[in-house]
Amino acid sequence: MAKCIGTVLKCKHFANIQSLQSLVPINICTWRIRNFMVHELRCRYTTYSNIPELNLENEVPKKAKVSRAMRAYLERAQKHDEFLKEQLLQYNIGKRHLANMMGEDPETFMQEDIDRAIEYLFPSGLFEPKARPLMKPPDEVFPPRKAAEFDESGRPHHFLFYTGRPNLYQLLHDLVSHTNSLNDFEDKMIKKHLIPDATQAMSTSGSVWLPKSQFEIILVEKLSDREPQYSADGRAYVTIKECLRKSARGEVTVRSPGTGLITINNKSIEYFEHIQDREQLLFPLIFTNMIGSVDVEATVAGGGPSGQSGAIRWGIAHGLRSFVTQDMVEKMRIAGLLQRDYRKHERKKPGQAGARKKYTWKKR
Amino acid sequence: MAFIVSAVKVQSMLLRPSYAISKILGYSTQVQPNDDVENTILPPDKGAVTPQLDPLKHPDFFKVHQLFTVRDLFDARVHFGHREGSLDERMKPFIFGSRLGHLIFDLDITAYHLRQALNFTAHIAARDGIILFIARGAQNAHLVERTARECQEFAHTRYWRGGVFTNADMQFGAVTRLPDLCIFLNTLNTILTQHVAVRDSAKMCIPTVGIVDTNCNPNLVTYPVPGNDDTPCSVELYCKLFKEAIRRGKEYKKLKEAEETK
Repeated sequence: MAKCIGTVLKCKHFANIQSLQSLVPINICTWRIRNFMVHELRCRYTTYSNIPELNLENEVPKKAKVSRAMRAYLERAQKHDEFLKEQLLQYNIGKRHLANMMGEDPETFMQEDIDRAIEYLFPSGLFEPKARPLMKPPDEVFPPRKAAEFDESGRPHHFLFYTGRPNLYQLLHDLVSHTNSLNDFEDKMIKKHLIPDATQAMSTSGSVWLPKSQFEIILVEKLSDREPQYSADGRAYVTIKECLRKSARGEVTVRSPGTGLITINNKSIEYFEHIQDREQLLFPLIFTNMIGSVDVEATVAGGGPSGQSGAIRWGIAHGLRSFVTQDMVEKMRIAGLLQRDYRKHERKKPGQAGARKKYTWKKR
Repeated sequence: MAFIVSAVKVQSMLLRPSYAISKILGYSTQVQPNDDVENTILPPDKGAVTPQLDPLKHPDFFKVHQLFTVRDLFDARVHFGHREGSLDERMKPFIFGSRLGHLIFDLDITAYHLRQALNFTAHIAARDGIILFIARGAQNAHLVERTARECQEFAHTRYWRGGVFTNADMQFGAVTRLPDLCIFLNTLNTILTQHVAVRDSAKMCIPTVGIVDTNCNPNLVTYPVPGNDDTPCSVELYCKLFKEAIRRGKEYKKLKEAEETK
């Protein structure tokens, strides 16, 4: 270490560095001078030190250059693996104890037996099954992590890594490539005056639409709710949660294709007695011309009719975004359908008659 | 430049300022720079690698000036800008003039800037830098992604989530290495405001190369390249040029490594 410092001090470039703050070791063999004025931000994200000005490469032995990113990942991976091993050990021990408690053979004690035993020993009156006590193998309980996404120098493997969702966008990219190649093929066929063979048409009977949850598992990524999901009967639907207006809170599901059926809290549009409230619901549908083509299911609680109808209207407008062109979305935005009405009831203040109304002002 | 002059009517409002004129006199369309380098290691001189040769000491080590001519830029419609009404004041020095309300770029200036940008890209690639291609236009997004894939670099042509650069550790859940260069094929996003990544790269001290059109702001881009960013054939030309520059940089790096391990 002393030799390294000596080498640095002898280096003529050292004298030129004005705003030197400190000499910070990265590992035993490699030193990096930090210029806090410029490099502070960059330093956190660069890889192994490679400073030609210092000419230390001749003195330093060539080590495998592992970046900070990779080192951090390796540490975390190791910790996670140890943790999982520990959990698995506990699980197996617990399984044997449980088998003994139930008076059964520990060797043939399966997961269903475990579930039964837990239900028997820890009876729970809770409604939500996920809230009840459970004992499952640690792989199922702790979510799986993605493998190391970058190599030793910190360079990511996937070319779409920086989008945050490489698997999804890779899929979309491949779809476009495939579509383009099919279009080129069609063009070639048309040039040769060949028409496609009707008997060789691809049948989609064997394929199935995947719901969003399964798709997420395949991609190991979370998808945003903007893309419509598909229900069991093959209809696309979008659920907008947190539709708020005044004190009302609601959830709206828009299904397409539909017949214009509107359901609010399992009642028809006559849930609202005034025409004004009903018109509020219909406004986004009329505006986008989707009155007879979508179904709307809404649940709403809190507030009064005006707040509830406003909340559902916002929800419908937001749900329609997924079924309508970009131009129409822009028009909706300009019409104010997508703007959330944040106005809330203003409280009454002491010394005043109301929120803003003051008592009669007397000059003397 | 004769073929441009005949086609364009120069309007008095958009005449180049005098400093730009003096700069242009120094250019020509097929520039041969001060090439005091006898032995570069690039094709066709696949001779001996001379490690004493420092790429940083030469103005055009990777010979990017040979990759294109002004004629190529013209054929790829790089000189087409938008209409006069959408002109950004800061783009005025790069404009040659306008014809029937449509702005025309000065391709000599564009060529100069493009050479600078390609040279820089090649150097970054030669030092194993991460290069991120950013484009935001459905028409050209697929091409840009394909180009990045073929260079073995990275692309981002999707919705930009806020903290990709500035909050990378949280976004990606781990310590991440950020790109060393961002190449923007459009500096504007789909709603015609400046792409967030331009500002964020500047914040994170990441150098940027960007194709700036007449309605763009060239200020924050380190190596702006004034030119058409919409037409598919222009974007194809840029992709081809950047890919070649990166390929040259990587080839140099491979040869250098081979030389060092010998």
